[in-house]
Amino acid sequence: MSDDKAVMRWDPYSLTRDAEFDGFWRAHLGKRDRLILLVLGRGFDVRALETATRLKGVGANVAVWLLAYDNGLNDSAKRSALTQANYNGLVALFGTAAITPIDIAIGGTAGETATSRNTKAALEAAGDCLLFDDVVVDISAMPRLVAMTTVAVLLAKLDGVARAGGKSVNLHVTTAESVAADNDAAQGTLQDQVTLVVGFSGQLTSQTTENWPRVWFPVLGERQQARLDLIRDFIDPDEICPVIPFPSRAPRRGDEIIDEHRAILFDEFQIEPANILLACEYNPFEAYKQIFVAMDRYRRALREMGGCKAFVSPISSKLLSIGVLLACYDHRFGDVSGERLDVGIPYVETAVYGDPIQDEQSAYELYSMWIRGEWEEV
Amino acid sequence: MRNPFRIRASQRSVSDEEFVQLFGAGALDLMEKVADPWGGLVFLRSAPGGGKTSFLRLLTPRPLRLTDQLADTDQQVKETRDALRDVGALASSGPDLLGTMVVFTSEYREMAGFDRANALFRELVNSRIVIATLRAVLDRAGRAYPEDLDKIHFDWAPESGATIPASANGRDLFEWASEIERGFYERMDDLGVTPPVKGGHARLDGLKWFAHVRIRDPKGPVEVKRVLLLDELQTLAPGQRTSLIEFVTAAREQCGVWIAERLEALTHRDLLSEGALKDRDYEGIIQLERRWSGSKAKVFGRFVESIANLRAAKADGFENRNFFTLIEEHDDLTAWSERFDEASVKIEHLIGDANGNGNRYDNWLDEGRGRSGSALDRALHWRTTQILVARDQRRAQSSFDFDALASQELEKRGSSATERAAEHFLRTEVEAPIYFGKDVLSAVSSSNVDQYLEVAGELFEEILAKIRFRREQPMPLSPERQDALIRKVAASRWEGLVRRLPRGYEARRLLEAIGEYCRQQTFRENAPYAPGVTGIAITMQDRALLIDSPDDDVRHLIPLRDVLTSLVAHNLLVPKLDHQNNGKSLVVFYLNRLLCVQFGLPLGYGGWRAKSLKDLMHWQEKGAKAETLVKEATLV
Repeated sequence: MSDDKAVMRWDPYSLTRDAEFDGFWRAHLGKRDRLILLVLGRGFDVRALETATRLKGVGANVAVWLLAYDNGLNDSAKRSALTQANYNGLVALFGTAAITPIDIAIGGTAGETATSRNTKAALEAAGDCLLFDDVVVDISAMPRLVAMTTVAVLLAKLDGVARAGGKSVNLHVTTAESVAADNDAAQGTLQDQVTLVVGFSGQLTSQTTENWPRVWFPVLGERQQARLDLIRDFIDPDEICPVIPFPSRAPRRGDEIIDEHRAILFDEFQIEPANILLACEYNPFEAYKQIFVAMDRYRRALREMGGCKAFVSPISSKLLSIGVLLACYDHRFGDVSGERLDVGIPYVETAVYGDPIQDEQSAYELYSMWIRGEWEEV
Repeated sequence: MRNPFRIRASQRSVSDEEFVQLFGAGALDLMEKVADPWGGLVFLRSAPGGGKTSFLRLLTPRPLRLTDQLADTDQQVKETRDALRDVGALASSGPDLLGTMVVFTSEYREMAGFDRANALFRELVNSRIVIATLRAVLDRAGRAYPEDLDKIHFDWAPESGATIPASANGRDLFEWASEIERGFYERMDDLGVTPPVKGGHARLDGLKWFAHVRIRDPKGPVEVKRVLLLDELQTLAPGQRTSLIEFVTAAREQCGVWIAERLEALTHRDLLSEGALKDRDYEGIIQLERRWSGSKAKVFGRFVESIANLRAAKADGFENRNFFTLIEEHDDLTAWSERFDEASVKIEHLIGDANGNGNRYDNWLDEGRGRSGSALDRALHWRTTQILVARDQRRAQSSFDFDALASQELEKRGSSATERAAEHFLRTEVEAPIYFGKDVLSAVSSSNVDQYLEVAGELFEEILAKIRFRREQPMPLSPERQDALIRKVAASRWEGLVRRLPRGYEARRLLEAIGEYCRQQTFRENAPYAPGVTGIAITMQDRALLIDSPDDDVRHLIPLRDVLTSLVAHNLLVPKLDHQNNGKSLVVFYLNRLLCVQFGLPLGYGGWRAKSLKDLMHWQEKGAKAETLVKEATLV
């Protein structure tokens, strides 16, 4: 019944890609003076400064919250050097006075799963983002869990203030996207424990809704067998719907991902081929729509069983991870008629990072997603 | 189908029927020392994967009832039923126990960040106890959950301030508990600023309610023994765990309480105090790996073998085969005899060289040359002789005794331990398989069920593939493949150490150094600690200094203390008391047997070397390089 369908918030949407980035921000800054808060990660990733450099280039007035991670382990010499070089570049762009370091304890070894909650607490203590007109979260050099938590916490906060009649602050998410660079950066060993993004527990351990069906949507990238196994054991789902990137720049990427994970998906998990979903690789808003609709289909179908729990695992690119977050956020906080899903975002952190073998010349594209603010109020 | 060895029997997706059929009855042997299992407090502890949750699950109503029902048609289930009757969980008329399982999860620890006084913790625990009891009562009555909640009734006399309803049906209690849970998750999932704590419960009323509430199901009053099964306590924050255990201990309610937790929840004193090592004052504690080791090692072997056969029978295509008949127990001498013969010739020459111009070993050489039997038997004899020659040469040098030795002296100086050392040396040198066979599978588990299933599962996967490919004539898995697969599991576990342990890098360095040292001592040419060294020991005095001292007194030792504690908690080092060394007490830390595989060591116990705390700290800092430094120092 069409009147039971949830209304999607990000339809239409505002997405800016690479070549359009400078033009978008020049026009945005041209409308009025804006004080911009840039939230980015202190990390070794070769893409860490792309957003900062571009904003500087268009003359933005920028203050920086620099998220600095500590997992209790010594960094390798190579990673430390890369991280320091990125930091030095940031100082050269904006000056030390404009940079506020924010320390976040993230999961290292021994199964600590407090990264997401620590990120939330650090952001709460960081200062008042309402002093700014635009907040830009650059997730290029952030660990996945930190990135998703940061966007979720800031989005919820800014939504809450605006809903109460306060200032409407724009929120943008940027990332320098490259599948090759992601794969090169992704070497490392995983934690043994699954963690949930704060705000998205899915009430997995609730005893009064223990018998509700659990549906799991792993959004797949390359080489994710270990994460799949850990998360599956953690959730113990009743239904599994893998999400494959398609359309994608490399036409056969989706097929290759399925082939790579064939044994675990079909032999171990025994999924039905018809359950495989597609999500756009390079447009997070289209991916959001595809995932949102799939989740909503289960919400409506399983309503008679009392309710349903949906878990979405962002084990693909960071760009797709934003699509995952938007879909889950919209199901939790958006315009949904009838019973909501319990929504969870389970993930497995990298415990020990490997040294990146990223090429300084790796091709990547910068994406900017405007996820809340003035565009919604016309 | 998923490899049945990789299924965790405690998982939700494993039905109770499957679970009962997969459960090895031998586990219940562990209850023999528990004086009052259904009226007292019992701790069930192990390293990860020891089988705690499966043990508790068996005691819940549906598995108990199914065990009773299926026993007449399934021999394995019958054994479980008989064991349960012996301990009073089943009567001839059926379940005689209301086992109510409450599983703790890491969300409680997250709660501790803002619930300093544990008020919300107690509220949630009370809610969980009530919910679990509702489910247990319905399961016991054979009714559907949650549909039939309104058909059961609960009456009790609440103390002042208690919020659990005095008289209610199951539906009402469910709504009461649901409200608490919804409030909890709304708070946990709030993306805004965390508000101050308000509400919560002042007492853990759920326990008293569980012990005293009068329960009626559609068949009438529920009048059976009650036991509260609390699982995964290691997921709690330390303050929560302490307050819960203190409350349960002090309450002395008229019901049983079982607490299952991983060893990592324990402190260094809990694990390594003199009392803990001697199992003193611990009648109510079942520490699984410890209970299974020593004199019960063979019982454990039979237990896990039965589990392995139960698992194997679940696989598509395996049919009625026996898992262990597909595990080859002997070398393929056709393939290896040439290598063993080459080794024999080489050793004969080495002994001849040792003889030089003298005749001290002529008789031993003649004995070797005259030996009959397989190539392996002959090679083993030569290798044993080589060890004895090395020992004799040390002795001969110091005593100026160069006369010929009689053949009888060869036999006199040998021992079964020396022969085992010789076999290990020989196999290592010719790269023949070392780790294979049913007994080895049991040995490498280090008394941990999960570890056993991980290794057996790896072998099973290859066996099953062979069956599917050559269905008509299944070939046993060769010693070579068994050895390779067991080493693969050992390497995989070794690789995961850093991320699995607190102070992971320090722990790995310490283990590296211990392993390297054990190898060095084991493979000394005279095999002084046959069949090999697989542990290091510290004096009880050093143990007291390390474990019993206040933190401020031993600040410099805390990293070592923490690392040793976590290695013990994860069953990677197994502490055992030893009083034999010149009347001085020592505690030996034996390596987990998969670590022995990783370092190429033999699997027996008994060989160890004493070390100082200073040595251990040095090793923890330097890792495998530590030994090199020591050697260099020696040379200087």
